[in-house]
Amino acid sequence: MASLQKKICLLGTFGVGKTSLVRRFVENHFEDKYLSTIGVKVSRKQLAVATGTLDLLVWDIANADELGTVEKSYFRGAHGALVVHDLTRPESCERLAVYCKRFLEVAPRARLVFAGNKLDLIEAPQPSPQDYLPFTAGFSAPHFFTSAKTGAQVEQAFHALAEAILAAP
Amino acid sequence: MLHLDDSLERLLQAHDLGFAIIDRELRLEAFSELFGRLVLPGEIATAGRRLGELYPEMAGLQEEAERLLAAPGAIFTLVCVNRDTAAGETRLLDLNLTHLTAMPGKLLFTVQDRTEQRQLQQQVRQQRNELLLLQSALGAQQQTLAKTLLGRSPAMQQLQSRLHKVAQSPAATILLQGESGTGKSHAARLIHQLTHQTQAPFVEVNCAALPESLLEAELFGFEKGAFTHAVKAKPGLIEAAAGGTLFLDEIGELPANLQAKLLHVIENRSFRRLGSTQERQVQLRCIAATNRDLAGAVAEKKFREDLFYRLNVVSLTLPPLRELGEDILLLAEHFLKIYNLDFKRNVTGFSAEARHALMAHRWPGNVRELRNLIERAMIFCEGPILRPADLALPPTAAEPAPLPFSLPAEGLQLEDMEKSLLQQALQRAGGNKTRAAALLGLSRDTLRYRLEKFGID
Repeated sequence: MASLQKKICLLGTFGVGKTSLVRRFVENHFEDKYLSTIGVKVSRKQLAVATGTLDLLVWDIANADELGTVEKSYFRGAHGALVVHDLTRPESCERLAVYCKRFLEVAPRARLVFAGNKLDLIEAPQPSPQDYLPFTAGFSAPHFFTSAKTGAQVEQAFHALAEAILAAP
Repeated sequence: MLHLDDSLERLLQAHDLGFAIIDRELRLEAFSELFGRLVLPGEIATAGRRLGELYPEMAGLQEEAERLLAAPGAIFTLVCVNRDTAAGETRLLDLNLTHLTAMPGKLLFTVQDRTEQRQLQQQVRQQRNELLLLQSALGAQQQTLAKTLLGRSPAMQQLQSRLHKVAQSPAATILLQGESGTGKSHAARLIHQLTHQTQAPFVEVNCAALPESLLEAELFGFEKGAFTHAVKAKPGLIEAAAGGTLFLDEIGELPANLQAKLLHVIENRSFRRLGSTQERQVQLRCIAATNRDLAGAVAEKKFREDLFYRLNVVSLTLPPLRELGEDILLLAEHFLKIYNLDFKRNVTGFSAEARHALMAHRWPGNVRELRNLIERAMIFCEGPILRPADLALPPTAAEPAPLPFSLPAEGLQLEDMEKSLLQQALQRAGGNKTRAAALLGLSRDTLRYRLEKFGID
């Protein structure tokens, strides 16, 4: 069985739960306390995929609005990105397209998946990808609604990204 | 062991830079002691190992390495890389990769531990982001509150439901009743927002705030020369509310003369400015509010009967705070968040004793009193949480005796109310009949009899 290594980045503004999603995905753990990420933290997770094992390098990157010129070196060599927004803060969607565009400028062949996080804090009605089309329409990417707290849809979002990367030509 | 130029090596060490010589395959050829110390926990630096195994942030950079080798002077930098150590600390590293000019085909990798400096930046960012998140959460909550009333108690749930129904009804007049400070003005705004477009006017008039002559001019407007100082015509508040809502607070204080004129406005949707004979049409919804017993005022001939019945077609009674149970704490926590922001404080909550004191107080001034109390407590408190001493509530024993229950103006169904009280008491007591009986001042047997009477399980 072959082992492939792929790099993915988490993009999004501050406080949307990027670190919590990584922690849930990699360590199956959640902490309620908010700790602002500075710079980048790289974690590793092996995924079983149809062709063997995928060694995923997960780059948890600080607030995408504050990266400046260093973001290019963070994005270099990336194969995909999980683009995260906070379902409780509509303003966290406003610059999703900007983050995606800047990321794809450095990694043009990379794949994207959107994640609306903090699903546990949302009361009915449940969100739909259609609600977010004004922010995501330019990037034909799947949209998941996740909760790092409960774990809802977290695995699915990362797996979808991994599958999309592997399916890329 | 290293083959760097001596002066370069001294320079790197003087700046606390760990370093390594890397070949074009990104394999380690030689390295300093500091480089070896900062590798991924569990890994050991040895010649021939891939850089990406020791510093995973540098994995997959083969193309970048070729670019650097082809472009002397170019440098690849990764700042602020978080590295968890075996000791459980997080170190913040800056990594650089560049062409080693003196050694063709080789790269120089440096690593610098900048934890102390970066941690200061992190603390500033943390505080700023926490504030922004709090503001955002509060903004969202206030937006929600502008569309609803805060409270989960049965009384508030029922009020919210009725309020939405009233807002959607075509009623031209609505009467809001309730003790002072129960939020009648907020309820009026809520009805307005649920009924009208955002830009529709909401005009609030306190009928007790102005003398009769001034109030009449303010409400109805006047023509030039209508009275001594009427040097130019001025539209009144009724005109200002056209297409929206006229909210008449303390309607029970409206002078008798103006009561008749207001009735005319409500019934005919028209009025005349002072000093004018021209009848002007106006479309508006009139919401009146009072903390007085208007039915009693009618009986005492202090309020017009016809106006009372006109206003009372649709009426809502806002419950006093003391009847809202745990909603008191919900509201207290809401005000705590507001004043944390206003006063740039970080008070995290209430002690158990303070919560108990809040629940035990009778709140004669209702939500307004609660808000003022939290504001005052937040100004003077010095600890991380509010304690009874910060709240400065009078002792429970000194509280005045409960006011007798006041019959709503529209009357009530006694049996329905009894059934509802029994259900609420059971709910509040978590199904414990002894505690529910105590809440209602009944014996357990009497409670059981009444539960059976209403078929409550």
